[in-house]
Amino acid sequence: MDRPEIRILGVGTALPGPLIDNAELVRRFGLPEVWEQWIDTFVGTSSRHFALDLESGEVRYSLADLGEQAARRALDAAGVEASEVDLMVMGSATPDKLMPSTVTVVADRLGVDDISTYQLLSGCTGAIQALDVACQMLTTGRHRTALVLGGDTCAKHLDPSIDLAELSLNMQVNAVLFGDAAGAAVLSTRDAPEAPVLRRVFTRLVGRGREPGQTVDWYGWADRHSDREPVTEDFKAVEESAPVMAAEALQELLDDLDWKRTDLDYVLPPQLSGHMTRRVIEALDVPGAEVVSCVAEIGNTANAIPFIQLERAIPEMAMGDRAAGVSVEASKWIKAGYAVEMPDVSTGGV
Amino acid sequence: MSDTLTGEQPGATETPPLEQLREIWRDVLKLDDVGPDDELPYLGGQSMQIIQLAVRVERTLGVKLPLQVLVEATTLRGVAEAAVELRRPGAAR
Repeated sequence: MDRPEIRILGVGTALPGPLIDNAELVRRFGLPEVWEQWIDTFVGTSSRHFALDLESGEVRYSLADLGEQAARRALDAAGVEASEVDLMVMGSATPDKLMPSTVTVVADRLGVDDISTYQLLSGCTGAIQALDVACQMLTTGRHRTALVLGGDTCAKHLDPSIDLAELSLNMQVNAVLFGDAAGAAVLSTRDAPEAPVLRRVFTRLVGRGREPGQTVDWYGWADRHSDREPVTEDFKAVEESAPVMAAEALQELLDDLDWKRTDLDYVLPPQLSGHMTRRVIEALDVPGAEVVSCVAEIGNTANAIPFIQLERAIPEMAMGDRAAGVSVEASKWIKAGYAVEMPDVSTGGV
Repeated sequence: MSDTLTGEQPGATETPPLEQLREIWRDVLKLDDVGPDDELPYLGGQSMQIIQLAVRVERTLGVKLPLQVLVEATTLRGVAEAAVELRRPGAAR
């Protein structure tokens, strides 16, 4: 059986609240002012959106709120009714609750029912895992139109009432790296000759025997007073491994598709921080491709990233253009990638 | 004034901020000891150590040292001179 082509019919994203710049972030968290200079120099991120209001601490948007908004925009962009969706897959490291899953809450709000839903708990490669699961299920022919979502919010981890300056350096750095967002894409095997084709998606765990580069803990009734830090990160390991893993992921993608580096028109790199993304781009070594990066502007938006990048790249892509996206997850070390090609309809397809 | 601060005053050996800087550097970089003119380890790329030094300097001396000063510092005396310069009235912060 021929593998059906999977098309990206539409992409949508949602960013909560106003942009918070480094000066405001540092002031609001009561960090020494020199942090502002440090974020500019060593993180390379100038602003981000948050799901909570930093002044009041009030959570203004849940992940379901952002997911719903992104999903509606993706459906609108695709010209697809929610009732046509027969599969939903979501990737997130920060679902609103463990149960019910955020994907089912979003489905309910969209009025979607009687379909298959899956939620994958993962860091920065979760959205690509969601794309992969959706693609594989569409390939079976059991499903025709998938709504794939990804997103994260820091709402559970940012407490403006806590004196951040008194927490560990690890917690302080984590507070300045991330931004909140959600994204969604409508994938379909239906006939849509002008829509971009999702050529490949892959994810690969490469963490056997290796300590996690990032951990995010969760608490229940029995350990609610635990003094374990909710989030830890081995920044040095991430800095060392991310460029190498990203380059490996890109190579694997190119080899699998029999594409050359020079065939790439767009590259959608990992978005760990502005500084790290610059290093990763050097390692990817695709000088001829346009880089689609938003981390300097909105921070590391984790599982929303591929959607934000695709939403920016796809309208720019000309017939026959090729794009490759890469992601690296430091938790237990996962690399992932995806490739998109704009059909050349003048020659009857790609 | 600046002579006192950088420990150059005749008779004064290690007065603030040199002694304070010495303590900060010893703590953050886990150095056994470091004299005013000893060569400091190069911190290019050591962003976590740089922010720890910068925060301690800002808290202790009340100056926001340009981070490049910390990255390129070769001796504590050099850092102290930069800090003194920044603490002068009217100095650009």
